[in-house]
Amino acid sequence: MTNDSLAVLLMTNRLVDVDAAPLTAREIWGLYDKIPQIGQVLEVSAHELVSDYAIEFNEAERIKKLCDAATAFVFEMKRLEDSGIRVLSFLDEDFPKRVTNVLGNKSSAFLLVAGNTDLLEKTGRGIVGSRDAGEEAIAVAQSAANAAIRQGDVVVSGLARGIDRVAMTAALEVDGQVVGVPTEGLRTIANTNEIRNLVHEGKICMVSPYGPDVRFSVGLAMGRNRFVYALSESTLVVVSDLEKGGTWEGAKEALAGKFAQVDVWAGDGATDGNRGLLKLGASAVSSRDEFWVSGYIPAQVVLKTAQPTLF
Amino acid sequence: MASIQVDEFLLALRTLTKNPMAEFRDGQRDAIEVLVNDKARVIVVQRTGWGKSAVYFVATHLLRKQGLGPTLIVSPLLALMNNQIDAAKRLGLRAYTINSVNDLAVGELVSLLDADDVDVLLISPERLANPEFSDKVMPLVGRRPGLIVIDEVHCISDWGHDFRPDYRRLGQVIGRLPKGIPVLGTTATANDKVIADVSQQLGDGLPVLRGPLKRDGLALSVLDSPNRATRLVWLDKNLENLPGTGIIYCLTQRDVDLVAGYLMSRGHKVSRYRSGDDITQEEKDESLRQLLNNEVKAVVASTALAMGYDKPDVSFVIHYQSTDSLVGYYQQVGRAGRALQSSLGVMMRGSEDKDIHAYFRNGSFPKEEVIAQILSVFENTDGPLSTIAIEKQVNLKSGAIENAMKQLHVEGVVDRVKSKTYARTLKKWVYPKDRVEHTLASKSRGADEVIEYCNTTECRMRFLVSHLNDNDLSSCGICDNCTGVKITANFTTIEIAVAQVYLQSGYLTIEPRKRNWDNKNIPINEQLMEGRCLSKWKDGGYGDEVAKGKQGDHHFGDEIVNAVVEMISDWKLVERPKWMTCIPSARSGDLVPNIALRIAKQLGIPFLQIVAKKNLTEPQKVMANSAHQGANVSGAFTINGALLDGPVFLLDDLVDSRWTLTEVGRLLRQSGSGNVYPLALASTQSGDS
Repeated sequence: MTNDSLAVLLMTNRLVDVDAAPLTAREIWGLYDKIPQIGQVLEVSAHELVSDYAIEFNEAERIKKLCDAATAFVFEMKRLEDSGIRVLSFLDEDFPKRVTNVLGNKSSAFLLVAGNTDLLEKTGRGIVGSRDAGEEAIAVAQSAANAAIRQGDVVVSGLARGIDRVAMTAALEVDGQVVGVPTEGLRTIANTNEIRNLVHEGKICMVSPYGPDVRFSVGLAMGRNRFVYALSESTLVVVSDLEKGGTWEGAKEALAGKFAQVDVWAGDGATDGNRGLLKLGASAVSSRDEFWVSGYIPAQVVLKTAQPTLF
Repeated sequence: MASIQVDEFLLALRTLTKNPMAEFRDGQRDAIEVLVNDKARVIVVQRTGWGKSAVYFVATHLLRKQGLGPTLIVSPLLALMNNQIDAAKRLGLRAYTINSVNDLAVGELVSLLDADDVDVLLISPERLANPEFSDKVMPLVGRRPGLIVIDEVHCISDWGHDFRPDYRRLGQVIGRLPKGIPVLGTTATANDKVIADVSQQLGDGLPVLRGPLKRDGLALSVLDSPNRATRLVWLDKNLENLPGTGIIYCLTQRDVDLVAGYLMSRGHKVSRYRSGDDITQEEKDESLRQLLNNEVKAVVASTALAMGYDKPDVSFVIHYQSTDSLVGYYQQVGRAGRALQSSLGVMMRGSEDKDIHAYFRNGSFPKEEVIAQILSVFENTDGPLSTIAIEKQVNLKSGAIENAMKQLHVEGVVDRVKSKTYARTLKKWVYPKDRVEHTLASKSRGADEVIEYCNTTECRMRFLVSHLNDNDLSSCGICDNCTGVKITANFTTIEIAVAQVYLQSGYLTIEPRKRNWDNKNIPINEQLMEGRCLSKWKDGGYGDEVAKGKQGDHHFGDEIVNAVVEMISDWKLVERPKWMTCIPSARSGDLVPNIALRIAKQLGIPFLQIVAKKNLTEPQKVMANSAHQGANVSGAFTINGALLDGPVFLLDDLVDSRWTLTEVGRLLRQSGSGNVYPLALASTQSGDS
């Protein structure tokens, strides 16, 4: 791990409690713009941060306080790593570059990752939808997952009940692999032996912007949706409520932010919510032969420095 | 960063020690400079007694004055940390430790740390892996840079003789810390290979400060004496003639008990120190206190009394059995004579040593199939599992399960969520076959070096320190090879027989089980009474006779009958059993009834063969754990015929899990017998190696 990466993690993590608030996504990206060799914050004093980098004194002190907790953080990071959970900053080689490219300063500066990180380099196909899905929707999710695997891609899933799990299972059944973005923390979901075994077998790579022990909450579920879109080259909305619910909100955000291609099921059984998303600009997929064929919008580069050039 | 004037170091030393004349010893000042002025990392290799604590206490004092966080000292032996704590407190440092036995609750420590009222925190490496410590204490200790001290730093290298996986983790953490956090690693026992590995793990180009390892005035010698009894006689005859007080090391817990017990029975003032569930912390603390105050001639100890014990006037260190590595030997014998003109180190070599070394070596890492069985239980279960829940699903001894869980925890394969309850982590893991083999091979080479040490005709001190890469070529002039004066053990057979009898007559207690194998309570009036067992299987005394009778002659000789009768007559029973019965076995024919009858005859009570087997069970020995053994005998026996009134002896040849005796005892009580007193000829229980 480089000093640059360690510095980013020290300033942004919430793994250890420090008497200073961690930098927000916007703040860390701003600081990174100012000091591209960000590891330097570890070596200079608060006064030097003020004089050499024109940082306000209060902010400089806050940064130093966060960096001073290196011992506590490295112990915690090592503890997680020993149990199979890596803490990656956006400067780490294994950090999925798509996420920062797509989300820009909305992206968290670090992610917790468990399992086969090779999967993050494959083309991801997101499959999302409500928890309560009818038989038709389930069949759509299954064939979309099969189609993704057939063309050598991986399925990106939120691992929740309903469409998420259906897509995951369908991908695994045809020997495919899955990138999972659970709503629970990684140590929490590790209690589920099915998921845990799949991680050990290298079939799932899990990515989380949250602490390892968080439990499900609606807010977190909303917050993680953008990572499903950001990790996918295109995402299919199988079934959505109209103007409410996580699926609707997530798709709306992805469309507005132009995260990636958003497809929505418009064939048999399409809901009002699905039609609503079409109006917001999602592309229609009306037949099961059409999965993953629409044009791909290249991810926009939001911040010039978000494209790491350090290695 | 501004350098502190060197004089300030001396001032700090003199202030802390309240001794205006105090001076640094060779190398102490250099180490403090690296830590305090450069905030850098350094490894110090110095013989025990050199004064490493002066280095980290003075450095702590100065660093705290500069506003750094508390010093964290990681040391492998918690029981002996109290010495260190006292030393720190005498120097005016606010020092604390946290462990299960004494001192502070986590909550208390957290508020002290919060108020920045802790200068020194001492912990064991295991503590770092404790979830409560990691969650609550470590974040507070590590929120500011502070000195980190790794005592016995050689333990982080798997080339080291007592490599500890908890320590390796620590090394990896240190290797990742940014500059500006001072780190001190100390060891007295590390060769170049180990030091190179350690310095690579802790950060490249780390300075290493080395001092001479030779210990002046320590006279080493070796006594080759295969027989346990002969060595006991040597100790008995020579202990009082040795100067001062000292330590007698044994390889196993059982040898500690035997040697201490024998010497006590011969009127010597000795105490014992070892690990194990059947010795209290109070007894251990008391043993150390008695030695510290020279109230006993010697403490008989296992290697549990090794690193960190700080008594300046230990006059002799005797090994009743040879160690399994030379570095380990240097470390233990190095307890002797720190502040004395002369002291003694005697290594005895017994015929049993090799087997004991191999036993420990092979048990040092759980077997692949054991791990595989346990992990498959996790694969099939959601959420965390207790060791008891695991025990129900695998045919493994509970000790083996606990040992495996400990190892899996260290490897990061499971998290400990609470005491004896573990959760499988997300870590993909395969059994580290190569690593295990490599470690075993390296340990085996270590044991060979001890043999070379015993056989050498050159100066023993030179031989010893040259293995630690101290290339001082001078001879000590005082070891048995330098002086030509050898220790001998020539005694008459009568003298040896006394010790032999002692070795053979250690009766064992058969504790009654209070719960059934399905964990239900056994009603008090159906439980066994406390019983007696003559020997341990193949223990070199009666245990050998029992083995010969069972496996060779198919008949137990009269000396066993006599010994059992004597054991019963030594036994202070509140009531005299009125009759005797025994456990039948389809496999052993009338072996047990035969001896039961002969014992009953000598005791003058009737023998009734009324216990019968309903169905042929698997031999108990193939059932590995308690739950499986209990289930195997449940319902396997029946009572045929009428009982006599009153209490009864129930005899079996071998006792292991006690399930058979428990089950038959219950049947007897349910059929109306009096209290049931179990007897056995030998115990095959492997609770103690």
